[in-house]
Amino acid sequence: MSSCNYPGCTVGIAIVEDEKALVRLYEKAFIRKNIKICFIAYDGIDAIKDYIVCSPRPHAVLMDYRLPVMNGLEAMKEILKIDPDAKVVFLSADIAVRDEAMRGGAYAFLKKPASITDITSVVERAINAGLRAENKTV
Amino acid sequence: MNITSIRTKMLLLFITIIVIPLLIGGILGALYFHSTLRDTIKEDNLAQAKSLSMYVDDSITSSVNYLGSLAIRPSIIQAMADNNSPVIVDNLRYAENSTNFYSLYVTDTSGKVLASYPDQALAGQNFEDEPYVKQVLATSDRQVMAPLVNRTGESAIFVSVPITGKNGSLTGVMVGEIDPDTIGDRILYTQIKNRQFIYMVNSTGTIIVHTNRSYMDSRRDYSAVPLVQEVMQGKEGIKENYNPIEKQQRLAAYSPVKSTGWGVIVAVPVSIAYQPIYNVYYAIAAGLIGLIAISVAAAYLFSYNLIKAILGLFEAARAITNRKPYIGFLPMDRKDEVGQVAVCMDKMARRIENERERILEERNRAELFVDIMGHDINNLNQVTIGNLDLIKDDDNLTPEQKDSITDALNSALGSASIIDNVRKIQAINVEKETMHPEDLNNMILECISAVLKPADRGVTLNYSPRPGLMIQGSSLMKEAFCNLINNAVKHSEKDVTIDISVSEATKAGKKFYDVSIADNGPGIPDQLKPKLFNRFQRGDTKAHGKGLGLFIVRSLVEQAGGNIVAGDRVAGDYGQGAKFIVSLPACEGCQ
Repeated sequence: MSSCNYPGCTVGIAIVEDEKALVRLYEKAFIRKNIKICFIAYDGIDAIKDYIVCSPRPHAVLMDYRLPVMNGLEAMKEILKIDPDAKVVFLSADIAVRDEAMRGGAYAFLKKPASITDITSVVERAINAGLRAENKTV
Repeated sequence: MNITSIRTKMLLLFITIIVIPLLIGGILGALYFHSTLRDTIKEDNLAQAKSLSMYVDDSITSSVNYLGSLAIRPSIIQAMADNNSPVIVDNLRYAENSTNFYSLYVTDTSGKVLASYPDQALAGQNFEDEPYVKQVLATSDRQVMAPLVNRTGESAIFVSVPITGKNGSLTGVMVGEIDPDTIGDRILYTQIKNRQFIYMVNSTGTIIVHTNRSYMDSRRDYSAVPLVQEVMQGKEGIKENYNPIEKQQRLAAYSPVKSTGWGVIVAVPVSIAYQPIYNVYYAIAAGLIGLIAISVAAAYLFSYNLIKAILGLFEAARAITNRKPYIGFLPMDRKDEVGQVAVCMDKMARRIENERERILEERNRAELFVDIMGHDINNLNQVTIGNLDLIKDDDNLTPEQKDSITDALNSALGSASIIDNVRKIQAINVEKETMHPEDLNNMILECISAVLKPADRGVTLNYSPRPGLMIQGSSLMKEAFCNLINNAVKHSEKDVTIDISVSEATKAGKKFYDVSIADNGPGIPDQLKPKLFNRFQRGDTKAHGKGLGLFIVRSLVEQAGGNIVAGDRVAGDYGQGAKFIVSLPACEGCQ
């Protein structure tokens, strides 16, 4: 189900996470930092669909690894096929996938549990990197 | 054939037990036969020589006696007195027909031939200078002389006897000639066997009779032959000697002809003489080879059945070790102890396999638990930590509330840290981490850059980078150094200085890197040092931790083939700080 319904989402982040408590946490953290949330997806397939549909696209994606239907690694690869400049920040408890995620084109990898400061800091960097490609900054 | 194989050993054992006695028996038998046969051969040849010399002796003696008996006949004596030649010739003719003599004649005391047969032309010739006449005239003794050349130029044996008159005075000489070939053909050559050489020499070593005709014709001088010299002295015997005339090593038996001082020699080449001995050797050798072959075959067949079963057990053990099908190797159908061993091995293998499966199952279960912890609980920790993070800086909180939030946050972080350590221990134990070349210097530098520096204390790290220090380690190896460095920070309550250095050492011929991490913190009391790397062993500082860190460090270091020791920065004074030395084997040839 698409949740790409944030109006005026010109600069922002997409959250792909199946744990609702974590989704709420990330929302609170990003709102505090004035980072817009473009869409929230709870599985890999929805993440890809929303990414395609949302316009404009999010400048960064906060991706979990263990997701229903399709895992975050495969979802990232599909997103990167659609948009090679996509900035995917992995936030996962599965440290074993770090290397594969980075090789697959992830912008960064954070191990759960990470502090809110670390999460928002890395996401801001990813968004700025995305904006630099469009000559804008947050 | 593998010399250490049980099959080879069994074969060698059987061969030793059977073959060696056979060989010893064969050798002893050969030696016995050699000695016996040798003596027999010698005795045979000597007996032959002796019998031949006796035959010759008898023949010559009978010829001499006959002539002697003829010489004393009154008819001869009277005929000589009456100068009646025809009577003498008649007697000589009779003698020639009856004896070995091929020529006979009678002389008077002046040596003049009065009568002869068959060559009557000899009558009237004077033989006074012939030794066989002269000697008789001088001594009145019978004479046998050989070989002498007769009037036709051929060698002959001369027998001469005195003729005495009625008054006993010498009236003449009766001479008879014997062809040496007669002796040879009738006596000597009939006895030749096995390529023998039979010859007869006179008292001076001159050939009278010889199988080599030319020697007879030339009256060859054999006095240089050592055994001829012996027989000339009237000795008999048998010897191996080198014949310089024939240029051959021979076994020669010799025996004297006593009546004449001659000698009969029977000689045979040594290689032929001892042929029976060689034949015995060949027979013994052939017999031994046959017996050895039979015994080896018997040993092989006998041992095959037993060895095959034992080798089957060996193959089964190897297959079990390599987790391959083994049941086909086990001789379980045997009713003996080997069969029982096979049955036991099968049971053991099944039990081992069941245990292996159970262990795998438990390991998988453990991995599942760790996985659940690592993922699901960490997710919950993330929620806790994240939310606490969000509210902890709220200005509306009371100090008490802030403390509570801090404690809750630390607990959640602690929970995450434990999960992290458990995962590392599990990874080390199941050897998920494979070894690969790692740069020690890079690992240290990364740990230094990531060191957790508390806000209220100063942390000074001293390290001189040394690129290219390659070791074989897992990807978790860096954790070991990070843990040690962070421990040094964690356990110091004041500002801390940490000195890190790497030196090279050689241990058991192998190159090692010794990484020294020394701090000026509170140090490690001596009573704690022996237990420091045990699981759940904590230090006595206020630093928090569940005691897994150094256990993990030790596990990582030992997995890489190294070791770690804990000591004092200042030897003997632990209060001056701690010093850890991690020793790791250098990766030769790694880049």
